[in-house]
Amino acid sequence: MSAVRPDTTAAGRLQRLLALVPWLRTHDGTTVVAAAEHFGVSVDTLVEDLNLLIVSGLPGYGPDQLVDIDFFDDEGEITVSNPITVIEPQTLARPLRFSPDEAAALLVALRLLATVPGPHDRGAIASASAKLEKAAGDAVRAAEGLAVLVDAGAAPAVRDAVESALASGRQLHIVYVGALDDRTERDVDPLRIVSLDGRVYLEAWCHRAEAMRTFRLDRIESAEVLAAPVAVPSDAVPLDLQRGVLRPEGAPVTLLLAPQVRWIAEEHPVDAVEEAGDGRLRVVLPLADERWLVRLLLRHGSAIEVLDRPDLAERARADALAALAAYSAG
Amino acid sequence: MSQRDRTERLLNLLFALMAFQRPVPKSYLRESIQAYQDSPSDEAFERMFERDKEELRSMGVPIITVEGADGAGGVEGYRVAADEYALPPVELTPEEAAVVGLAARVWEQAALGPAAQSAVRKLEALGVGGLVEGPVGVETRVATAEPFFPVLLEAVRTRRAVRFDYRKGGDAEPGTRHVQPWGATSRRGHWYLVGHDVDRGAGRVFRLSRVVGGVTAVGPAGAFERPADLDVAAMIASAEPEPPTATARLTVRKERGNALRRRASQVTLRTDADEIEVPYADDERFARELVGMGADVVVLDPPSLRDAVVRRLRAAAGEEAR
Repeated sequence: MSAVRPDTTAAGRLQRLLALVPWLRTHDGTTVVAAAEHFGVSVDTLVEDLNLLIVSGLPGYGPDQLVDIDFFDDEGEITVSNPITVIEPQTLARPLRFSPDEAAALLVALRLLATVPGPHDRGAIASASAKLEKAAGDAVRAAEGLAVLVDAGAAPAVRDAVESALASGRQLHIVYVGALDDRTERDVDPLRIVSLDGRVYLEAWCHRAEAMRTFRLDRIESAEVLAAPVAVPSDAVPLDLQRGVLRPEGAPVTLLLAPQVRWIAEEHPVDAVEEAGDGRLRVVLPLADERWLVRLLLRHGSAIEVLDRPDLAERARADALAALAAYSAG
Repeated sequence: MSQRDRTERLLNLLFALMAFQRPVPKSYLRESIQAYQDSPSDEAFERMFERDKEELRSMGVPIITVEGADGAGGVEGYRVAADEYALPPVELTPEEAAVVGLAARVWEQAALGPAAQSAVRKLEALGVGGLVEGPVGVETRVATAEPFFPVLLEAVRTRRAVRFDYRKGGDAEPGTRHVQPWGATSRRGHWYLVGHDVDRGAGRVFRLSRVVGGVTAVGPAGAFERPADLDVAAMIASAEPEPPTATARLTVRKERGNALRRRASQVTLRTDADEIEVPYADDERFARELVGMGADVVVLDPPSLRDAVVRRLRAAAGEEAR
């Protein structure tokens, strides 16, 4: 969970303090450094949190009314390895109920997970949702207006084979049609299902490429579970989900998009976008494969202008002329 | 005022609201909390107090307002009941904890990320373990790129109308929209707002990436009701292409057009190129797809599709004939 940066607003800090006291109670004797790591903050910030708590309490603010937490050593010093014990939590013994956003975040994501292909436990999703809904009370209503839809688009037989291979830890033989229409057969070691922004991929070690690869589930023509167990090399690097989308890597190209094809900047990862007047957009996008751009140019004709790769524009023109020849011949 | 001072003030307000079995009058809060004592005027105190109260409420603190708390009537008092405040005990099996952990990670790159993380910390504070570690063979992420997403989400939740500038596909200039937001839905990497377009008097779907600038909530909370029979998925899908109504006859080069072949209702293998029949809905849309394949595919029938492809190829070849 360290991927989410700590909320540095007063409300964010208060949220942490309200969770910190009951967490310290259920994890009695934990150290300053372990607590800081758990809450994703620096040791200094955690010590500040503790110092703030022990001067806070019920009105009157006498010794019996303040929060009391022991995190000092025998000399009264604070060291990072000191165990922490909550002596008097006052009214903070239990965590605050879920906020509407918190309830929505968990419940909407669980509903989503129930629809994503994969070997995860569907029964556990249903029972966990029921428990959380009960605990959340009225806050569950916040989940009503929010939904994430997933179109796996996978053939049922493909989905079954992929889930079965993941559950049993066995290799798969797949027939795959790539984005540029290349049809290949491969043996792969399935690692996991990755669902990013509504699209579903199988991430696997590919024996043919001898590298980690992602395969869109809806582009797998057929899949067969093999007898051999998976053996992903220990130095294989899984996809970095922090990047959010599968970004192609390649030299960037600059395009001028007419108003009717502005959506291209929404559909594809772009490095830069700027308005170019009259509703047009100037975009810089990474190009994994030149054939992809040639296809795009064929489809949209003069609505796309390539600003820095005249060779690709020329290739698209040549392809269009070659295709026209077939019609004039017929 | 520093963030630390503000945190301390909110914390002390929370303590004061939970300290007694009865509602606490505002005057008591002003006298007993240091930061309120220090406020220069009654107006400054009122503003500060109202903001703090809303802040606690938005975090989920159930503050009850009671009339006549001083016994004389009219003066407001406030209270947070301990059993209303606390998250009830939750016990999860290891399998349940694993999927809840997965669920929380869904929002790592999204506006709900901090909320998901905070929810997990609360469960952990109850003693629930196993929420963070362990591969389960699946990972899901949904990103939100729009900085106004939290504003929109809150408007959906509190049923407040919103106003924003929106650029429809192909429009050069954006126009202002007034919408009662029924819900936000993500599909194929895009977030959509579904709601009642007040100016057009009808349900509409808006793509968030086409909102220009921000979203502003207008008017009071609870201003409308969400339709009981609302089917967001169907509304978004209705903005998609219709089901196939026509069939195209095409020749496709050997080993090419694999995606098309998968959709074919009939494939006839020939020596040089194969002939396939593919159901489709719209000439222009299908022509756009076919043109991308260049000389690998040739349309035989129907003539309307053939013409659309030829026209597009001419445009791409620089022979402007549109």
